Amino acid sequence: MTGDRLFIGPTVVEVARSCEEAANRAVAAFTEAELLANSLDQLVEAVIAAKVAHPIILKTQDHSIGTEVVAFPERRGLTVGSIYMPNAVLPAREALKASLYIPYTGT
Amino acid sequence: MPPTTPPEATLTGRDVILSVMTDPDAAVQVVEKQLLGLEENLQQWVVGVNADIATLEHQTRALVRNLLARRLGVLRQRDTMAATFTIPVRPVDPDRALEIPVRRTAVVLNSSPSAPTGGPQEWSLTDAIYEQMITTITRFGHALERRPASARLLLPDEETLRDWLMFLLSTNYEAPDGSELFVGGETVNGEGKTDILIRHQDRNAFIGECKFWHGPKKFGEAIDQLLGYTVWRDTKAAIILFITSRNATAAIDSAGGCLERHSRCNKAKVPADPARRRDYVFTSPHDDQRAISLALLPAVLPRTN
Repeated sequence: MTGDRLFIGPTVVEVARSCEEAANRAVAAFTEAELLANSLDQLVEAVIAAKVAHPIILKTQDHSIGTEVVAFPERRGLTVGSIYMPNAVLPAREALKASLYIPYTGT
Repeated sequence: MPPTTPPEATLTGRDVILSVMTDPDAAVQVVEKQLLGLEENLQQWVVGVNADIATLEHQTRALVRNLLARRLGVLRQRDTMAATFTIPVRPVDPDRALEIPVRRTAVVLNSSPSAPTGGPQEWSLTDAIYEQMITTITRFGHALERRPASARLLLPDEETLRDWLMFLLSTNYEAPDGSELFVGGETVNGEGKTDILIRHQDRNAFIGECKFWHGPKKFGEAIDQLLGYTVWRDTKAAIILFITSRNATAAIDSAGGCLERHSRCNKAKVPADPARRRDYVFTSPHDDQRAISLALLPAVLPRTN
């Protein structure tokens, strides 16, 4: 995938390599009895189901908002560009943290 | 305007949580718009990730198919090679072999002393023959485990498996006069329909039951059925338990527990290999003086489509 990354984690290449290794191990782990007892398609599906990530489905229609009160320092700390950096030395005041909860399945 | 802070994203395993910090007096519409904007970004990101997953699945599927085809090819080559050699193929390890003897073993029932009360003569199968028969049955089970593709043909029902086992036992054992030793299948005996029996004077010296594992309740019924048979003072029995479920160990333990906890179970012997054989001694519900030595012989047969 290209573009900005919202989450920090393994890259696509790293995930693909990890998946390939896991698939290799899964195929090697089949016993002779299992190889003979199942069709090629059944064996392939068993590995795919166990080792490949499942597509993500965001249920945005079921999303909900929650708020909570949190400590938020005065705006006199260091700023980098337009990003506010908290300054632990300065006194804190209360602020609100608004959170959007989005149910999901997959991965 | 609230101070600009980086949005946070957290995964709980059930929800994605997108959060922003804001002043308490910030306009609700602004905060909501900000969150919905983050959600839209996330949706676009998910579209990209799902495209990556689809590509990965496609590539992995091709890889796995190739790897499996290679392994299956090696097995086929081995079988072809074994079939083509002019040098005799090394026989199966005797412990694993399922032999069909040239001459069948004649099974003579032992005459036991009559009951202390002076009842009629009692008969029993000798321990040596019983152990030999258990070995034959066990090897039959092991052969099915080793050849699941062939075993699949025998799996439709207990009757089919019973018939094959009867066939095998009949090639190994016979009555002293050379006649067929075993009865079963169509015989209605005692309180239930029998599987494999050695009968003498209308009592059973050996009872063999083929059962698929369908949970403890059904297995308990099978035990009761077996105990309903008319028996000698020392009758030998075996339950050949075919397990097609994935968790075979749990099924074997559960079956063993059913036997141990049964009200007519007098003794559970310490098994040498609990996954292969467990032995119990029961008393007949019709007569406390009549014992049934029972071997539980599990065979694990993965059911395939």
